[in-house]
Amino acid sequence: MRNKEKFLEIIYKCAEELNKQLSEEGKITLEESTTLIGENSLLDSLGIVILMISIEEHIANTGISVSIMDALTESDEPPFETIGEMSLWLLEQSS
Amino acid sequence: MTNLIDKKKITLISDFNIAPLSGFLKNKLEHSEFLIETAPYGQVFQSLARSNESWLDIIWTLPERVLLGFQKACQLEEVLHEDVLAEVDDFAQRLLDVSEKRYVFVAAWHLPSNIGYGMLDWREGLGLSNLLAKCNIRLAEKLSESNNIFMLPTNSWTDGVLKPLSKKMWYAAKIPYDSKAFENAANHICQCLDAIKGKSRRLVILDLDNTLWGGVVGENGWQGIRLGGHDHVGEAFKDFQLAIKSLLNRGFQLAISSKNDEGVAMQAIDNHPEMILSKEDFVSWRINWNDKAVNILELANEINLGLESIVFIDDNPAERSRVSAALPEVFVPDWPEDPSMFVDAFNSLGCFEGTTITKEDRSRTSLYIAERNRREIKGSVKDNNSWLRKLDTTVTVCPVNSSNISRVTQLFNKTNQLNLSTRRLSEQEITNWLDDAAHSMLAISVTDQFGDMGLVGVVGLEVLGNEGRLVDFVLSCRVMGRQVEETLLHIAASELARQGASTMKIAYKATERNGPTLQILENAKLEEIEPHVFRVNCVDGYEKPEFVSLNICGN
Repeated sequence: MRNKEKFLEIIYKCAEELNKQLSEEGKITLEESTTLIGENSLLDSLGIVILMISIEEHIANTGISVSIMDALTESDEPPFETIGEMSLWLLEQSS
Repeated sequence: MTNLIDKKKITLISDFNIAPLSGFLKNKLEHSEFLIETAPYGQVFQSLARSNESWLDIIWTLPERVLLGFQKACQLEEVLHEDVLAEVDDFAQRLLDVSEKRYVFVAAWHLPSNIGYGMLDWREGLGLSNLLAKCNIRLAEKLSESNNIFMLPTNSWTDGVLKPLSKKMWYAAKIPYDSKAFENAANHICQCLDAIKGKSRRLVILDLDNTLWGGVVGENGWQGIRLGGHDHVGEAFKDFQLAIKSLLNRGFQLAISSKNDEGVAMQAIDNHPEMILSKEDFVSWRINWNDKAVNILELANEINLGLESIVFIDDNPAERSRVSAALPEVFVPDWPEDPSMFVDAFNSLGCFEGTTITKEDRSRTSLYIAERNRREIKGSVKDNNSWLRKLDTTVTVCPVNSSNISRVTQLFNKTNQLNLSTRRLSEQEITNWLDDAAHSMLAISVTDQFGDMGLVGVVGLEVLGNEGRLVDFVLSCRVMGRQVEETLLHIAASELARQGASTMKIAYKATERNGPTLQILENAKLEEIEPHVFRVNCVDGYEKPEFVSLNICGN
């Protein structure tokens, strides 16, 4: 089923996994308003890469192919900044 | 919390991006004595050569990056396996050099991905699987020269991970494995650190009904329990018993805590033809209707082990919850309901790591059973002296050398109660300490009429001018109360006198657990020159206890 909640679930799951590697102050808060990309993000570049690829791979397992890394590197303005915006962007890309 | 400056540095060295392992370890060891650092990416040989103050180096490399010949082999070029093995020898020598200064964990090499010669891949002299297996074996053989190096089996890190090799992560961030594999690696490394620090569990206390066999023996009789036979559930319980039995060969002990009638339960253990474990495999048991937490406390006291050395396995969640709440130091793992999962659950506990397996480990259960016999005799004689006379104890003293240093190192790192200074030393640190002409160390073995207790004590000595010092007094609590303690003082004073010292100074350094050492010193009628510091006149010597015979190696 392709809906925003399904993508949110995947993002939270991957963020939770990544949190196990992050320091207490750098952990991702599992909320739609949390900024992943941009100035207010707590993630460093490696953290962003690991999270985005992990999300890509989880989505690929549901039979949907989305290239998040390409979208982030190819445009000057990132297509999303927060977790909520990312889930909507993923929904848009998959439909 | 440990001060940053006092922390032991662990350096991660790799030819790939090892940041995920660093992250997992930092979180797991956040409040520990360890500090995690990562060497510059891809500079394996340079990092090994660099002199730093690392306490442990963890080296995880990809064979196709660290061995040029293997890289060519991966491209299916023709390579002589002997040439690749020569590269392995060179790599091993660098690790051996490093191990003279610090501990080293080396991850065994993992085949990069599904490449190679297909059905020919295991063919001698050709296949990559064949070549990599040889490389790992060669590396293991070479590294076995040092007891400070541990080559870790990486298959347990990737087993059960759906896609352990992540190509996408490799191309984007030079991270070759899925994060779950790094998490498994971090868990295993922490267990290995516990083993080095002497914190492994040592006693497994088991329930009986629906844990060691299926069903309730009190209701069905021993003929009615499910164990082995043409029964898939019975086979699962039998396999679980086999897994537990294997622990005995590694120096761990077993005990029973079961709510049952002892006579009925023992009938099952003695008579059931498919029982793998026998009565002799258990150092003790409490089979009664009492609170299991109380029973476990009694077992810990009887076997003389701290609660933090105990694992308790029980199928009943209520019993597990009770023991967890009452005895938080005891490790009480969640336990599956399905007996076919028992072996996997047991093998994944991860609390049975050890840095060495000694002669004493392999015979540990029989040592404890002999100890039980000693206590029974003690109950049957009228006074302590009669018991000591009956034991007919002989203490043998040998210098610490290559034949006994593994066991000596184990004693240094595991002994808590009878330990004067509680110095935790690696084998290399002991060797380095002994390189100083002022230092000497003696290994103490004990036998009596019930058997050989093996190497149970260590005495470390220092002589400066005519002043001697007892630096280490380490004795397994298994021989406590048998005048071996006083015999060690006699041995130390005699040896220092032989080396020209006129006095022996003994400075007790208190820890949470070594109170019994102070009691021994206070009861030994020594001169206390300042609080917790004692002195013995070596010229007069310290009298050997009456009921102990002394045997000096070589005499």
